[in-house]
Amino acid sequence: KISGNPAARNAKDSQGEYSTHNDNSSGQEWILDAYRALEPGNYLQEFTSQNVRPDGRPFSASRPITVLQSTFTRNSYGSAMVTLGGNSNSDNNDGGSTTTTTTRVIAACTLLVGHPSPSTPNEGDIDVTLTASPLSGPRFDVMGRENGDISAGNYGVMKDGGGGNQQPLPGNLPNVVSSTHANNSTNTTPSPTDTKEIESWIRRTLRSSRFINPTELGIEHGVSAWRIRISIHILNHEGNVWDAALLCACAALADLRLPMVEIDRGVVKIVKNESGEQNAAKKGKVQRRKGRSLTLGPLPVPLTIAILPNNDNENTSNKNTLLVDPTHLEEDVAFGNTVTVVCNANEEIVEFHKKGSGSRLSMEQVAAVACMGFGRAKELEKLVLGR
Amino acid sequence: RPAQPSNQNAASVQPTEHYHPPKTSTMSSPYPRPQKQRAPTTLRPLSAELSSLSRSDGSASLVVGNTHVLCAVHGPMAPRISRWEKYDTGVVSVAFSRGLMANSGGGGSASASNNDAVAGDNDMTMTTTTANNTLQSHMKSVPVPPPPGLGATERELEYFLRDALSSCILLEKYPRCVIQVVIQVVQADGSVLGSAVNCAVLALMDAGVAMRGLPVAATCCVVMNNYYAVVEKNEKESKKDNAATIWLDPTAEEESGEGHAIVVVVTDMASSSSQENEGADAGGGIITSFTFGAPLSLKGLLSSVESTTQSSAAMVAFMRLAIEQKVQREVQTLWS
Repeated sequence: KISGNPAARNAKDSQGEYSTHNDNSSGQEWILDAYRALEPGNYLQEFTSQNVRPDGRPFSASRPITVLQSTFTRNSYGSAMVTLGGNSNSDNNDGGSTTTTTTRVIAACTLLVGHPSPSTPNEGDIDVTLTASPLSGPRFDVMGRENGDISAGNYGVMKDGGGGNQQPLPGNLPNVVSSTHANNSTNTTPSPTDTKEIESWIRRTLRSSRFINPTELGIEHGVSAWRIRISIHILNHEGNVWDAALLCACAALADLRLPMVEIDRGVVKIVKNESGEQNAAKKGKVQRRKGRSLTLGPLPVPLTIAILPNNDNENTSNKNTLLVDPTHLEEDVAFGNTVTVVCNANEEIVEFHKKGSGSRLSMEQVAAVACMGFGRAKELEKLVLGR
Repeated sequence: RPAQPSNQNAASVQPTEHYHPPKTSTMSSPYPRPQKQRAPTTLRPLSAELSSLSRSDGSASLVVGNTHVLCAVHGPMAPRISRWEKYDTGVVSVAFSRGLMANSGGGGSASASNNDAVAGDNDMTMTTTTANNTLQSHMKSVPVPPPPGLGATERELEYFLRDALSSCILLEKYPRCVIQVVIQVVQADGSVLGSAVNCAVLALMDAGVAMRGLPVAATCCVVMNNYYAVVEKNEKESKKDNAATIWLDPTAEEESGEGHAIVVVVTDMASSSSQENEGADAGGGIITSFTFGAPLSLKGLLSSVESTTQSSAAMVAFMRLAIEQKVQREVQTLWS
């Protein structure tokens, strides 16, 4: 039987071994880590059966979002960094443990000048590239692909708050290892993060949401137009990269400021020093376009929800558990069954798609998800665009 | 007679009559479809041919109006890349090929290649939005209809198909195997993604892969009523009339219209037949769904999902017909 004393240092655990963790933690935390890594489904269920999640959020709460714009001013014309989660130290005066389940994504806009298509002679284009690297998480390889093997992953490790207070353990921990939880064998399609899929989704969502007006990207009618390349990189993947990436792309576009250009016999040159040299440009056939920001339509705000099958027998009215803004652990346990809805502040659904093969979504859940999306859209429109 | 070519076993199903599902109260249709003879709830003529390819384990060719999709299934077989292999379950791998922008001939034949816009080195195309937004011009075919999925790359569509098919295949029966599904779009005239799913299901049935359910896709086009009201009457206040017009099984012309949203919903029809008394939530819910096009309201989304269940019923009846003909043909061949 595992003792309930959290401060038992250097105590032998149930396997007769000393904890190999650092001295401040007891054997219990070591066992918790192993449990989380080996049986993520059952580990998560310990929490969901009590209506919480491992990081303490209720099911319908998303992590706090931080958007920082103009992060890369030297090499790009618009950039942003979005953080989902993240500690704000002021919140932890009561000594609750701080978690490292923060997803962090950066995006930067670079510009190219190209030739518009004949059918849309005054429109530019947006290109989206999403990259990941081993920096993003332990399961990523150098090509940016994630390994789908769940057992190779490490999830957000719970760290001590300053004072060594730890989260209360579930009361029935000794019973957990021996009890048999029903193991779902239906939703077994792995769903590691595929950057190409997310790129495609971001690109078409940006287009259909009318967030930016492509006719603003024209330079010279039928001859040249801007092509914005948004490069997004996942700095830390702790779940819900979809939301973070789309938000980051939008924030970078909001931050984008097209530079002033000179058009000299069809060649477009970017003018570095906008204020000076007004008179020099007047001579000859050199035209200028002023630098400007883009006028933005309604912000497309995504909301991703992981769908877990509900194994509890008491709660059969609702077959699924919906976890808003899932962490990486929750995404894996859900085997990629998620529903993403992109809404804007005009109460329109820009995009709705449900992924994953193991779960079904009912009409009430669709409506509920959409309503949550509308609420979030209004909040975030204020946060990102300030209106 | 083993020497007979496999084309003998090809079972082709003649086009069915137009199917008219019962009208529900949520579907209002003040706006007619561009093709006047077609009611909003009419599906296009369907025709299918099974086992048309001799080298694959299963194949199907589905023609929906002018959209023609071909699907081949190989498997269960050993995966070529060991990364795909899972020790306890099978894996579905989908390859989706759109071909050379195969668009239907109707409505302008400007070559597809001029969609390669600015400094292009990828396969992305720009949506051709009509600059003129008046009611008269929105339904004119744009010179180059946008590709199926409106800009979604093949990768996203492949994942969509993989999810839809994996939900209903008994993958536990095929550990360490891969079931490879190859889709080729021969001609695209709207509802390509939905037809691809249905074609894949037919091919899987033709191959004899064990399935626990029947994923059926239905596509519909949602036209928001207040979109045109604002355009026509030029009112300052938004009417907030969120009712929507739903057109089932849209053509490419309808899909590419300005302000149109396309919803593709895959539901499991096998479970719905046993739950007929459950009421509105028949089918056990949505397996996967996909939207593209303009933004739509919540009401539009919900009505479109509802109407797709009706269209799926017609599709299931058609699939049953196709398989019955194939089985009868095979019985005749074997025992004659």
